[in-house]
Amino acid sequence: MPAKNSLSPVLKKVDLLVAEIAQLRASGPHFRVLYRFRMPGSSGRLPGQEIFAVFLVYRGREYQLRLTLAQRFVFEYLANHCRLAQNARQIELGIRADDFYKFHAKNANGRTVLTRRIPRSSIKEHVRRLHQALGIVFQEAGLGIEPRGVLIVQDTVGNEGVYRLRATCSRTYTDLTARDRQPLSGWRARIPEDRAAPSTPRG
Amino acid sequence: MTRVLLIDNDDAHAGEVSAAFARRGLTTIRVSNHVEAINKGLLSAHVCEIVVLVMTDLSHPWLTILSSLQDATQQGSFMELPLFLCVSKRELAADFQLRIERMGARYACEE
Repeated sequence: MPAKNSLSPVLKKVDLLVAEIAQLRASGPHFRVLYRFRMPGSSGRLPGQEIFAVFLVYRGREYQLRLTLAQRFVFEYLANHCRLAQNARQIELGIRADDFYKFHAKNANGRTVLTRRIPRSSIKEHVRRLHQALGIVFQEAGLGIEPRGVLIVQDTVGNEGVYRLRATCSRTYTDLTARDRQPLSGWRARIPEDRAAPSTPRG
Repeated sequence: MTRVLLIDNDDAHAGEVSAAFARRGLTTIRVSNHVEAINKGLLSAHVCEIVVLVMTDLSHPWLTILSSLQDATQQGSFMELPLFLCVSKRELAADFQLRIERMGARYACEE
C-alpha cells in the first residue's frame, strides 16, 4: 500500500473529478422532477398531479429550471422517454394522448385549469427556450456542459429533426393537502370519487 | 486518457504533482500562470478535461484569476468545459472555500 503523502487529498479530488467527467459523459446531468397534488395513498405519476418544478441536481445542490407550463410538459415528456429520439409530431401526439397532461393539476380543485396544448409547430420553439433555461441553470451551477449536448436535436436521414434528452431523472411527489382527502391512513378513509381524477389511461 | 492542465509557478512542486498524476494515468500539461494558459489557448475540453490551479501565494487575487480562467473556457462554443480544482498548501478559511465552490470549482488542501 503506498504511503500517504501530502498530495493524497489532491489526488482524491482529482479522482472525484475524473469520475464526475465519466458520469457526465456516460449519462449526462441529473434532474429531479417534483410533482404535487398526489392523492394520498396513491403512488407514482398519475393524472391529476401537477409537474410543479424541475431541478438540476449537481454536487448536492438543486437549481430550479425556470420553465413555463408548456416547457415543463415538453421537458417532462422528454425525460420520460429519454431513451428514444422523437420528432415534433411524435412529441405532440405523445402529450396529447396522455391523460396525465390532459388532467394536469386537476386534483387541486377538480377543474382542468393548468393544462396546455403543445402543437407540433411549437416544439422547435419550446426546445430553443429549454436550451436557454438549461444554459442559465448550468451557468448557475458552474457546470461546464453545453445545453445542446443535453437536450439533443438530431437530424434524420429526411429533413426533420428528432429530440432526445440525454440525462438521468428522478421523481419526487408531494401529497395533496386538502382536508377532505387526507390523511388516508385507516381503512375507513377513501378518496371522494366525484373529485378524484381518473387514474388509468382512457382507451 | 484524462488530460490535466496544471497551473503552478513552482517548478519543483509542479514536477512532484505531474509525477503523481502520471502514476494515476493522467497526462499533465504544465504552465506557470493563468495568463500563459489563456494565451496558449489551453482552456478548452479539447486540450484538457481538468484544470488544477495551485494557489501558492495567498496575496494573489485567486478568485479573480479563477473567474478569468472560467471565462476563457467559455469563449469557444465547446460541447464540454473543463472542471476546475483549486489547490493550496495551507488550509484556507471556510468562507473562501465556499466562494470557490460557488464558482463551480472544487477545492483541496495538501496536508
